[in-house]
Amino acid sequence: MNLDTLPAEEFLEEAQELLQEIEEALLEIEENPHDRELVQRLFRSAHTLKGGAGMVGLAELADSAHEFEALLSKIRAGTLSVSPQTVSTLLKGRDDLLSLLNPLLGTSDIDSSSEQPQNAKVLAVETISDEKYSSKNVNSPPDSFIEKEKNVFLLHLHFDETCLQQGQEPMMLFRQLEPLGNITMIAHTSEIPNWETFDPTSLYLWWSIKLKSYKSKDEVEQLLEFFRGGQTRFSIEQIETPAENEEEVQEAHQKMLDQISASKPPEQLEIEESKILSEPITLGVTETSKTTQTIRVPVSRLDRLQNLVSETVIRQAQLLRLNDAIQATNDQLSEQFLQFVEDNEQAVRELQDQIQQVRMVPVGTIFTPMKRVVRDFASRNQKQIRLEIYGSETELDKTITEQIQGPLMHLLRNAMDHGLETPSQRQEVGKDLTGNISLRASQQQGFIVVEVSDDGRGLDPARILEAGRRLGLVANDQNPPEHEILQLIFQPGFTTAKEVTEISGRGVGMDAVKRDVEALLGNIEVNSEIGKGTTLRLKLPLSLAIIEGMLVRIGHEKFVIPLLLVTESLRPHPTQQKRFKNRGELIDIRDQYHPLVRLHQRLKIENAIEKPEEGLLIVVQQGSQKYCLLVDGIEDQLPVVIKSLEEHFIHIPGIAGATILGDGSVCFILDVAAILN
Amino acid sequence: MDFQPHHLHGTFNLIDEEDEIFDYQMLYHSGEQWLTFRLGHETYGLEILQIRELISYPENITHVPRLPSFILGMINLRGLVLPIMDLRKRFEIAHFESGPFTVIIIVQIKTKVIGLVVDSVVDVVNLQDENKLEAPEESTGVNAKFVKGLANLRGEMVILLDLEQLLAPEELAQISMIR
Repeated sequence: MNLDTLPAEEFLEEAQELLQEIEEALLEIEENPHDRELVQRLFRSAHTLKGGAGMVGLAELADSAHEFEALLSKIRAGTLSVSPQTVSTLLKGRDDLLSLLNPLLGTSDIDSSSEQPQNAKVLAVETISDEKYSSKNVNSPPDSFIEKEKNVFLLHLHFDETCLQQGQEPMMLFRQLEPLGNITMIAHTSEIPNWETFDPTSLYLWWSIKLKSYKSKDEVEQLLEFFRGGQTRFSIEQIETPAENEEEVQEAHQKMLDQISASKPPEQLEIEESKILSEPITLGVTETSKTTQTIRVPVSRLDRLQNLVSETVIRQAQLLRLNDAIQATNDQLSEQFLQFVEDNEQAVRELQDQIQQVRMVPVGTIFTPMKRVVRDFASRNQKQIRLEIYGSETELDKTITEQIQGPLMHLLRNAMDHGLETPSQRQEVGKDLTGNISLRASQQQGFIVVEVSDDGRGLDPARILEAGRRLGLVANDQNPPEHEILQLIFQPGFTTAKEVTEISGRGVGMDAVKRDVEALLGNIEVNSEIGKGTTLRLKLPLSLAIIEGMLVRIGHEKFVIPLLLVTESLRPHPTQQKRFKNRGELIDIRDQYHPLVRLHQRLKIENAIEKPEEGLLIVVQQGSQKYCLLVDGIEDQLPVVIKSLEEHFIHIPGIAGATILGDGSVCFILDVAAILN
Repeated sequence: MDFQPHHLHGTFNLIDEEDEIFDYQMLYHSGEQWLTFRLGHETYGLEILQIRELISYPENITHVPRLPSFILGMINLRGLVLPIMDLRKRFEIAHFESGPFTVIIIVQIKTKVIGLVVDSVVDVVNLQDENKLEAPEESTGVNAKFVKGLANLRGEMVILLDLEQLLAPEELAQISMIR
């Protein structure tokens, strides 16, 4: 691969974001067809995409974006109304743009896999009757522009003082203006400060340009649009149609130059601007100025930062231990030292929080694309579906957010496809014809709960049990309680059973969803009621770097159990211990029977407590099922920094990762799901 | 057998600069640098470019459940959690000594970092091609696939280990399969 031709990574990232914004705005505009701000937003995104694509040399993308933009300009001009069809066309156009981008990203879009990829050009031609927009590239002058250059514009270009620092380049705009026609330019030096306050990285020049062009005012403005933002002020004024003969031209020119050289200070100019412009351009100044204050940082750099902070957290604990030694020899010194450690602790915690904050993204970033999925699914399958989203502002670590997107999408598709009945079926049972699906995110102490629920037909335990028996997952003489039956849908073998799809279809890939969630040290739970609906509830840690852990002792060894899985701990009375045929050892907790799991046996650890009444039971939730893990005792409850063991290439069954304790020793984090399986 | 001479460019990185174990000038000599160490009655060699650092036997090694006994456990090396393999057990060397000279050689191949326990470190030597001998099949107690070659150093035989083979994915996959 030729590296020179690879488009800038930043552009690819930006383009993805722009397409995401476009999709969101399109879905929004369907509900608010007359929202001018939305149209402007769409227009701006499309334009930025086009400009960026042009700059990195993606001609095809730039062309398609141009056509997309042309459609939008028709909406803006009011010649095309916003109907569901228009939105569908635009959404398809957006997908086509994405499909042009995907080969460069090395990814394929899971959303569009079911849809026929379509060429943006074909689509644009269908809907555009006005040839003016169809395929003309803004940047290329027409063959005979001299004859057509009938408009004269006076442009005052006042760039943001900091625009060079932000990587903007006025020259780029001039280059784009150049092919539009005949240009006369004046650079104003009046704002250059004296040398004492002169900052060489700031831009003090501003320009006036006379442009004779065949282009309309709108088209010139489109070009300017791309450079707006921050304190940038552009004004554009159409003066008169050019004079017929040379003399008049000279005269008009002189007049214009006079006008320019008598230029006013910028504040006044701005006031003037609103007079000059028939349509004042005040496009989203707040929004763009917001973007100038953010910087893109590779996630890997954040990972590195977080690792360093984690190191510091661990050292902090080591310092405290050191203090014990100091105290033994010098009380006064120890006191000072302790004070220092405590002050430092605060700063370190704050640092840790801040870095964690930086990594957090609102879960809405993955909820929003789901709207599109629902819209497409509903129109394709003649179902009426209302998607409700709650708590999209809930924040979650970026990596986790990315990793649950797939599983969530899966749950959503299941809910739409199999959970919800068809409108006619719903009518029969007297339900609202429109099915409801809700996505709900909330934060609870130290973890995040994400729920996907529908008001569809629900899971039928009897039929799941039947299928489970047929597949040999449940013995014929066994009659597990309902919550255990529902757990069967997460069994790997369950996916292939055709009957399941007919019952509810929840089996499809549910084992994969469960695996993904457990890989994040999370938990997935299913609740369902026949005829009422189904809810799948994901419990996830806030961060992958640091989790709340319970430090337990087994024999002479210590392990961490992720706290979000722990529901309680207890020392059982011998009478609570039961043994059932086929079901092994159970513990009776408030009339509920939970399987007893002897961790020392599973982990092959010697010298551990064998009798539950002498040790301690940690009750953990795995799916909807609870298990009692036998340990010797609880040592501590603490935030632990997760160190992945993957890079050390040795896979250890039952171990999810490692952490470093205050004394500097390594301690393993149990992979509870793997141990129970 | 493949003996490509290494061209050293002075960017040799022993990670811990404070532990100046080697005379830097030596690096510019021709030939390859090998670290020799003792395992039982034999002398072995590891290519120095694969070695990150040497550490003394740590206070606490956390035992890893369900892994074969030659994986002693994991240690925390300045924030990096890494496994420790006892080469003496790995090669089933019957008589080994643990004492003040017992050393852990931290080696690195690409991103894999692992500590190898050996009886003691002997020296850093320059090996010229003329010192090297072809490894005869089944000449040593060690599984032949881990041996890159032999060298004759002032009359003493050094077994040159092939670290890449020792840490090859299929070897390591086997480790995690063993219960």
